[in-house]
Amino acid sequence: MMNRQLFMRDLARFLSDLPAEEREQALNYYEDYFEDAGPENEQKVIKELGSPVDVAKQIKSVNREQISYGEGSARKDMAVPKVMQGQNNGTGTSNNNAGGFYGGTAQAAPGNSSPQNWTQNPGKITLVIILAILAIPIGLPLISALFGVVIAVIACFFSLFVALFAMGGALVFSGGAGIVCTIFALASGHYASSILALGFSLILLSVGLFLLWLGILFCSKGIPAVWKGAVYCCRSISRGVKHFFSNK
Amino acid sequence: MIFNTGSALLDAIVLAIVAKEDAGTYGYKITQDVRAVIEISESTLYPVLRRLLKDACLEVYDQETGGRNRRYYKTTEQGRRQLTLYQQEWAGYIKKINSILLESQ
Repeated sequence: MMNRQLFMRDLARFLSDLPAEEREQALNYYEDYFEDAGPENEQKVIKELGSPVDVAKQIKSVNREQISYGEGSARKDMAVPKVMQGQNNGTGTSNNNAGGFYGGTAQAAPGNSSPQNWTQNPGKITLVIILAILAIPIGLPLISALFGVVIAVIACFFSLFVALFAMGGALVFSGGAGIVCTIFALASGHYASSILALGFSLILLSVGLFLLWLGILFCSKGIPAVWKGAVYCCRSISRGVKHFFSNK
Repeated sequence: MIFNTGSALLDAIVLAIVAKEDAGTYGYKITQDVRAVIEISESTLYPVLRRLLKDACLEVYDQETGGRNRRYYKTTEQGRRQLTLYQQEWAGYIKKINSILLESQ
């Protein structure tokens, strides 16, 4: 059974992502509400308010400037004309004559202005250009160094991969050749040395096969992983740049 | 009720209810008064009050009652102007609606 304490506790929990001051205000309001309704109406109030989750959603809707009502919903920014502070509005009866009665106050209301694109701001563009020019002496070597590092890393991986295959291939080849040779050697009667050579050949073969397997593994897993990492890096850099510019 | 109560109308109703009390009124009473005229969920009123506060149409003060502080809401000068605007708008609106809805037989 839900009671006032449980309701308030749950509500506090669902409001935990609000700023402290706003949460306090909302919780005080509902404490007041219960207090004024009286203990005899506690269950009725809880039933009427609905679940703490929904009440929390309603409270947060103030921040999003959108309130949904029991019947249908409406957005606040559907240009509700607002009287501006300190402005005398005693005359006029209609808001149909644009600019007459409200004097453009609706446009001045906060929340109506869409976030400004940085490209539309000449000051910011100039600033970015100046910054870019100033950054050339540092940026150019930095970029070329970065480019060099990237090339070096790619070359490293590539050479590692070539080396693995080359070594693996060579070992497998020499191991195989050794085995063939020992067969001929056995036929000519040098048993002890032939078996010794056979052992060495088998070792070479197995190491070569291991290296080839390593190379294939590297190809199938390593390269896609490196590629993915590189793509992720580029994307996060470009996102960061975009974020920087779109920030007012 | 079969007609929707939009946010502007709800603002207007709450403003009118608060404006009736010179000394201000409190959340529970506002809710009861609003609910006496329109069907609305009790939890809808808090966002409306917050919004009117944010727009400086209302102001609050705390007053002790029964060993605790109760928060009271009062209309500001700005709120009364806004209410006048709502009243004018509403008068025009219902006149137009009435002319088409009630006079067509």
